[in-house]
Amino acid sequence: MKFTFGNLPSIGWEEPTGHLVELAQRAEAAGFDRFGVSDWRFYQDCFVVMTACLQGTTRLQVESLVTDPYVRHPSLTAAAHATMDELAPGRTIMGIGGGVEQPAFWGESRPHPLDAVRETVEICRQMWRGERVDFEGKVMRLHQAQLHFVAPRPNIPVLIAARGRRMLRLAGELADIVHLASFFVNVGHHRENLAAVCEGARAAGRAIDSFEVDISMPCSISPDRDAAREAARRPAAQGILWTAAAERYSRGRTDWVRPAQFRVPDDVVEALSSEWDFWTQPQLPAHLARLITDDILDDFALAGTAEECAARLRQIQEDLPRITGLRIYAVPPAGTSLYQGYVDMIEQFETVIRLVNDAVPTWAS
Amino acid sequence: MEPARRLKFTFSNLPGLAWREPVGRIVDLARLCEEVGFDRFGVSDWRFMSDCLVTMTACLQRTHTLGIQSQVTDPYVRHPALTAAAHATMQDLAPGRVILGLGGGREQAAFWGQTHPYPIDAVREAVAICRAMFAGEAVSFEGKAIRVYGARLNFRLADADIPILIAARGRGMLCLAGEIADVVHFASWFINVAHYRDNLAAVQEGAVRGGRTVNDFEIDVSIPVCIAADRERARRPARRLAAQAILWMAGAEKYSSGRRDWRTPVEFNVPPLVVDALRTRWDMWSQPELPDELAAMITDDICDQFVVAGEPRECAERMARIVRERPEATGIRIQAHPPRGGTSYDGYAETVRGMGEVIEHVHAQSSAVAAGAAR
Repeated sequence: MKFTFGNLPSIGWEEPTGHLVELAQRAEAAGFDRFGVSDWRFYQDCFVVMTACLQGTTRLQVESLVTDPYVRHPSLTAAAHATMDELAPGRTIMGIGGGVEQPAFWGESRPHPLDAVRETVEICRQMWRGERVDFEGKVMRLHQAQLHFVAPRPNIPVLIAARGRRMLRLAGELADIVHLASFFVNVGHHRENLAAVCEGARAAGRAIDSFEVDISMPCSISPDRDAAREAARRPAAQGILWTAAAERYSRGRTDWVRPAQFRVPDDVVEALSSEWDFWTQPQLPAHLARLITDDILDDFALAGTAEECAARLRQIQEDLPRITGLRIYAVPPAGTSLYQGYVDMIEQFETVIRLVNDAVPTWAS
Repeated sequence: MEPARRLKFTFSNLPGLAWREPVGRIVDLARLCEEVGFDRFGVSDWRFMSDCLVTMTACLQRTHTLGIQSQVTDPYVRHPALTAAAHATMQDLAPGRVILGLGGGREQAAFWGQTHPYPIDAVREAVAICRAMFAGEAVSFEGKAIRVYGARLNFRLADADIPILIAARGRGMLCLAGEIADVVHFASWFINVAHYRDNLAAVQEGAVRGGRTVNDFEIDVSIPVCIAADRERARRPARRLAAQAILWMAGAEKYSSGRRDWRTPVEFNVPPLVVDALRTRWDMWSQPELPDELAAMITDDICDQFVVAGEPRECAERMARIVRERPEATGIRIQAHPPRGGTSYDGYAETVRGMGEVIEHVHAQSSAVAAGAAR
């Protein structure tokens, strides 16, 4: 199981950029395989942070988690990832998503996100192969673009983050790493997601085991179980709003169907939706947190001590044997600085990673 | 005693057409530049060479005192709000060592069909957006070329003072640089005092418009340089630089020929048949080497109008003269070219080491002049 630490920088993060690099170093020491750097406007620049993390580590893979086709032209995204891969051979991953949740700060339109992701992946792969690219897509166009240096790997891994059914299929069709981005920690839901991925893979004539499958795992881990569970209510609330399509970017999505397994009472969804904006408010108000019972919490987050979280991950691993990696969306307990909270949680993950990866996989036996 | 004018030396302009090495070697060169006495290291933003922002970050992380500047990016390649966030992030990693260099971007091919309208307005607007974002403001802006709505950095800079360099050759951009830049960069490749003074006059005009004097900002001058221990190994490749400069100054290459704001300086002294031969038989944007028959047309006299080239000692003496003749200049930006032989890294490294001697000599001369003035 490959463990990815993500997703910084993001809301609430007010630490210096150097602290991101230190977290990457600690993640490497704790046994994480990958470190995801977000591309949120206008936090610390994704490619600058990725470069700094790559240079500050020796083994860790560093991925954009995720960039999108609209923020900068895909040919620039290709050149930046190839440059990073040249600086740190074999350690760069390009993560991409539809970008539908990024505000349009300069009035840009973001038409046809599925086509845009497909076209971006095609452009990047052609450029990494050293080809001179002429491309007239539905969204993207490019004329006579060619890298002026030889990309060290023509096959820099491409991760596609997906929640909607069509993006899941596209990921199955194209991605080296399919990222199931849903924050709904439900085996049945993820099996449905995997079915969509497999559908895409089959349509493209790809073997089902020819790519990785990564799932998002919102979590908070601490020796202080209650503190961890309290902190996890924030990503759980976010997961509820996403899964219920009840926040501002999800509401209008025609490609989203609320999973049948979703069992959060309507009044909780309504309260979260009307009284909290997770895009701008780092903290979940206490009265809303109280609405998220333990049962609900466990549907949307991994929360508690290292040992119990490891046991739950082993169970997920057993239930979903096709999963090859976990992307940890960590939210530290309150009480210390955010940076120190992440430091403490990465330490806890050393135990989790050991317990998960050293355990005899029951599904294999 | 009046303090000596201590010029700032900048190495540039990699990655470029002649560069054939991994990006890590650019970082090695930045370290070498720091070691021999350069103050700054400029990283180009040419499509699709090694990414400028990635390379800058890598250089910042492997050096200690060297200023690292984008030299230059432009308002069109990515939205200025992203350019601001990237430079702010680098500044956060290496406080006080980041410079944002901007130019009009006229010479960048439009690979994705983008237009480059109103370059002077675009640079002005990009500077306004970047400065406001560095200061932590929420920026809403509807300019002639650029618009942005509610963009604000989500992190605070301990040191928000990121100098902005504007590279200029045309009169309009020189005026703008004088009006708003922290570092005015004379990007012309013509080593001629009268031409320098013309440029300075335009900058002063802009400075007056901005309520400033030339003492309120830095003035950086581009000087193409090729240095080798063996003189001839430097002089032949220097003709490549000279040829490029000739085409630019004559307004005779593909991006210059349509420019209405460019006038060939009256001091430009290259026979029309040389200009015409270069224009019709060589594309400086795609051919790293200048063919021998064209290089042969560039006599020593012509070459010296545009390039400082030769052994370290002669280059040091010429550079000291150039500096003396430009008392307002606060910095020299070396447009380096590798001498013949070896890898491109070896060539650039040889020029950098030669520049170490040049820098030492120029600083010593400046100190001597200051001491003389005090006596």
